[in-house]
Amino acid sequence: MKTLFRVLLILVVATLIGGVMYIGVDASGSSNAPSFGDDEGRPQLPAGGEFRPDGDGDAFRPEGRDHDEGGLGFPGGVIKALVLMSIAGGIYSVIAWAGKKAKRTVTTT
Amino acid sequence: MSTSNRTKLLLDIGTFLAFLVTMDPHFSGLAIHEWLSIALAGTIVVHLLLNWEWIVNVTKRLFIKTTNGTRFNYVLNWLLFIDGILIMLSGIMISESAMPALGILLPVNSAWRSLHDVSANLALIIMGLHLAMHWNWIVTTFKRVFLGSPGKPAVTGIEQEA
Ligand code: HEM
Repeated sequence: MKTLFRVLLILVVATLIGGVMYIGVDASGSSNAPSFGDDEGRPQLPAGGEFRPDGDGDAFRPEGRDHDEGGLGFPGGVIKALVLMSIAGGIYSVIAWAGKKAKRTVTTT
Repeated sequence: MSTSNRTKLLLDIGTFLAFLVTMDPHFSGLAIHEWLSIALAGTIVVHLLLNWEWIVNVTKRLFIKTTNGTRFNYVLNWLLFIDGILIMLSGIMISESAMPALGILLPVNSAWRSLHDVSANLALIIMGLHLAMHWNWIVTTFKRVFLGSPGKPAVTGIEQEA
C-alpha cells in the first residue's frame, strides 16, 4: 500500500511537470503542421479510419532524418555519451577534491 | 523499504546500460530505442522507490540542517528527474515506432525534436555529475558484491548525512 502510494506520487508529480512542459511548448506555437484538435478544421476520419498524410510519408516529418531501422553500426552515440559523462564527472571530482584539500590545509595551518 | 545494496547496484547497472543504448538510436534501431526507453521509465520509478528514505529525509531537512554538498546533490537529482520527463515527453511526441504501433497519432511540432536532442545531451552532463557524486558508493558496493571484498558498508558522504 505504501509502495503503491509512492508510485502514484511519482507518477502524479511527473504528469504535472510534463503537463506544464506540454502547455509551454504548445503555447510557444511553433507547430509546423495542422493540429489534430477537433476544433481546428481537421477533416474527421471515418470510424476506424487511419490517418494518412498526403505525400510520400517522409514528408510528414520533414525535420526527421533518415534512420536505419536495423542499427548496430558504429556506436558513436554511446561513445559520445561515455565521453561527455566522464568529462562532467571528472570536472566535478576535481572541484570536489580541490575543495577538500583546501579545507584540510586550512584546518592544519 | 529495506533493500540490499546489491539489488540497488544491479538495478542501477541495468538502468545505466539501457540509458547508454538509448543514447544512440542509430546504433540500436529506432524501435528498440523507443521501447527500451519507455521501459526505462519503469526502472527509474523503482530506483526512486529504493532510494525513498534518502529523498524523504533530505527533503525534510533541506532548509534546516544539511550540507551544501547534499543540497547540490538534491537539486541535481530534481534536475535529472525533470530532464528525464522532458526526454520522455518529447520522445513520445516525435515517436515514429512505439506510438504509431499503439495506434496513437500525435500532432507534429518541430520544437519537440529539438527539445529531445537538447534534453538528451543535458542528461549526459547531469548523469555524469550524478555518477561522480555517488562514485564512492558505486565502487565500494561493486567490490563487495562482485569481488567479495569485505569492508565497511558502502555509504557515500552525501548519503551518510541523510
Ligand atoms: C531515456 C530516454 C531517452 C533518451 C536518452 C533518448 C535519446 C535520444 C537521442 C540521443 C536521440 C538522437 C538525437 C539525434 O540524432 O540528434 C534520439 C532520437 C529520437 N528519439 Fe529518443 N531518447 C529517449 C526516449 C525516447 C522515447 C521515449 C521515444 C519515443 C517513444 C523516443 C523517440 C525518438 C525518436 C523518434 C528519435 C529520432 C530518431 C531519428 O531521427 O533517427 N526517444 N533520442
